[in-house]
Amino acid sequence: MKKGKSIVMKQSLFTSLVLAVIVALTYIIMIAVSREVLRNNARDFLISTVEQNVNLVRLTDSEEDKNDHVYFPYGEGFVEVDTDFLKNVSTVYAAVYTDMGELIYGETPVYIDRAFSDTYTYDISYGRTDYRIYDRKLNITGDIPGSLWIRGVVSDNESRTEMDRITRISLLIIMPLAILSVIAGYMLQRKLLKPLKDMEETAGEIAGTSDLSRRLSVQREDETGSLSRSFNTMLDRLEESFENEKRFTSDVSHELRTPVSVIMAESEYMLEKKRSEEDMREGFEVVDRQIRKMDSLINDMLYFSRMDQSPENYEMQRTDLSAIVRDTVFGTSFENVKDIKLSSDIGEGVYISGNGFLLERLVRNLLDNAYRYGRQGGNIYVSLKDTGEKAVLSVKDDGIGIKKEDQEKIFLRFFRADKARNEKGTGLGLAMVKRIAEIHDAEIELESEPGVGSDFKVFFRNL
Amino acid sequence: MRLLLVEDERDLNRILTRRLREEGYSVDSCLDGDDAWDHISLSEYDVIIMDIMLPGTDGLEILKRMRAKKNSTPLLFLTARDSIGDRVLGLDLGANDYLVKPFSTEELLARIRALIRVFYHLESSVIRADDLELDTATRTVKRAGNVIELSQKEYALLEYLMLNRNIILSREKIEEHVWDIDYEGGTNVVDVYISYLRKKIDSAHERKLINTIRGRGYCIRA
Repeated sequence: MKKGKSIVMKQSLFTSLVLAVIVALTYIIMIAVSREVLRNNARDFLISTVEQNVNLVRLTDSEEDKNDHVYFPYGEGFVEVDTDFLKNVSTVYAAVYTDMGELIYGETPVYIDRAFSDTYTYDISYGRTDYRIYDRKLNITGDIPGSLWIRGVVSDNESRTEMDRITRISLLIIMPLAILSVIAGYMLQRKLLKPLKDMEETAGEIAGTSDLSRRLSVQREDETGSLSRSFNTMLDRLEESFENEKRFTSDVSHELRTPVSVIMAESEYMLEKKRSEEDMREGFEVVDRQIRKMDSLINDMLYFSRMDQSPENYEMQRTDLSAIVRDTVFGTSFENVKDIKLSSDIGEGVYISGNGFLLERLVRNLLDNAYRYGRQGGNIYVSLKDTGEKAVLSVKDDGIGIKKEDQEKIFLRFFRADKARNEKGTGLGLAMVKRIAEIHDAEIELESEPGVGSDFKVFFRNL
Repeated sequence: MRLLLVEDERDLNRILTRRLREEGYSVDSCLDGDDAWDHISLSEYDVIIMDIMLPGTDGLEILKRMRAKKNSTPLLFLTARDSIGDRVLGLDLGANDYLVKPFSTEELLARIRALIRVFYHLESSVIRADDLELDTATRTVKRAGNVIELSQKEYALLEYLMLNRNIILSREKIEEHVWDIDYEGGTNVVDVYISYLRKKIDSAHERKLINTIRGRGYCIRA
């Protein structure tokens, strides 16, 4: 996986981008608002300064108070200007003009070629600086030629410096915050996505080493926790079926190897040099016997694995168990070398939910087993009873019986209580019985005593 | 050479016994572990060939008991279990060789020969005593370069004497190693076969290789 394409990176990039846009917008809006506020402040200050100055200018006949005022001859008398007139001169320039535009007192930062218009604000640009101008006509009564004007001028230099300061401060505050939030976001994302990363690593390791026993550690109760759990459950299933598969393959090869070695030894013996017809005949009989053994083993194994791995292929429906047991007991021929007598008591009309094909196999395998381990001239007794809640199938023999410690093991694949005495069986018959019972949700009970006989009971749920 | 074959698959047991006897070995065969243990306790074998999974006592258990009793007879396991763990376990318990089923009879025979060679510290399949030469692989015998035809029992007897050359072997020991347990040919069978061998090997030569040590047995002196 390329690092640049990881979710964490993508998410972080995205959030950073969004954050950047938000910060930029906020910044622009803030600057615009600040500028407006500053401009308004400047204008208000301009107007109030000029308005205050209006009261500081009047006409007098004589130079009365030279301490606090300056006097300029005007018409018959003087224009008296209070020295406070210039107190705001650092920000607001104010000057007194005659009607003709002749400067009487004060100064302006630039020359303004514009006619006066009372209580009117306007902007002019000079060079790179903007100026705001406010004119005020002095309301002076008396015998004077024309009127006097006060013109106030304020430059935006002041507000521009102020703006720069605000910009600098806000950048100093916003930028680290933005960077901090990007880093915090990245770290949070990483922490949140850590289980995903773990999962990716574990999956990679499993793929690399085929070690299905590995699991994710589940710590969280959030979505990633439940994802981990699902992942682990999936691994459980995978491991189980893989182990099954492995065991099955090993069992199969083990079981097939013995007949193959017999055939190999026998055919090598026959081919090695000229053998008598009797020897050859005996050899082929052995080969034939072993090949048949392999054939039934292969068939049983395929049947078993098909059933074991996909029981859903066998449709369950209302099944007449009585008919199946009857047909198997009376309609199937069993190898009966020991002259065993079979008797039965099969109750009529016992119905269960099941698969006829599988049930027939179950009955047949139980009978096979009873014949195989029966006693010379012994008996097999098959019964089917409806006990109300359960349907009970019993296959009972008076054969060799099974030792207590082996009674559970005989249902395992390829387990044989006494190997030498059972060369005919494939070792799968009872394992199949057990699996079919499981598929039908039925229980198996075994009562057995060595030398007395065995009774296999299967309890089906009645329909 | 006397072998014990322990294999519970009847057909395999029968054909291997037959094949081994054809090779001149005297063979006792058992179908289960308990019977095998009785045989091992009662007789002396040159090589034991044994399946691991056996009814009754299993092969690993028998091997363990043998080695515990200081019985160092070479043992070869025959088994369908081929995992490395199984092999290591068998060899660590003291098995001398391991053959996984299915196997070729030829390979089994070669391995038996190899086990015998190792047991008798032979460098190759050829054993020499003076100008007498015996090749255990081709089962041919030469004296001064001339091939000598021997019957199976004669060969088996000579091979046993050659493997133990310079060692005095009692009649009982020879009988135990060259004839199998079911043999009931009479007590002087060894003397009879020694005389056959002498005729074929020593009669035409000045130097006699097969010596009788009165009251003790026979010995080939190189």
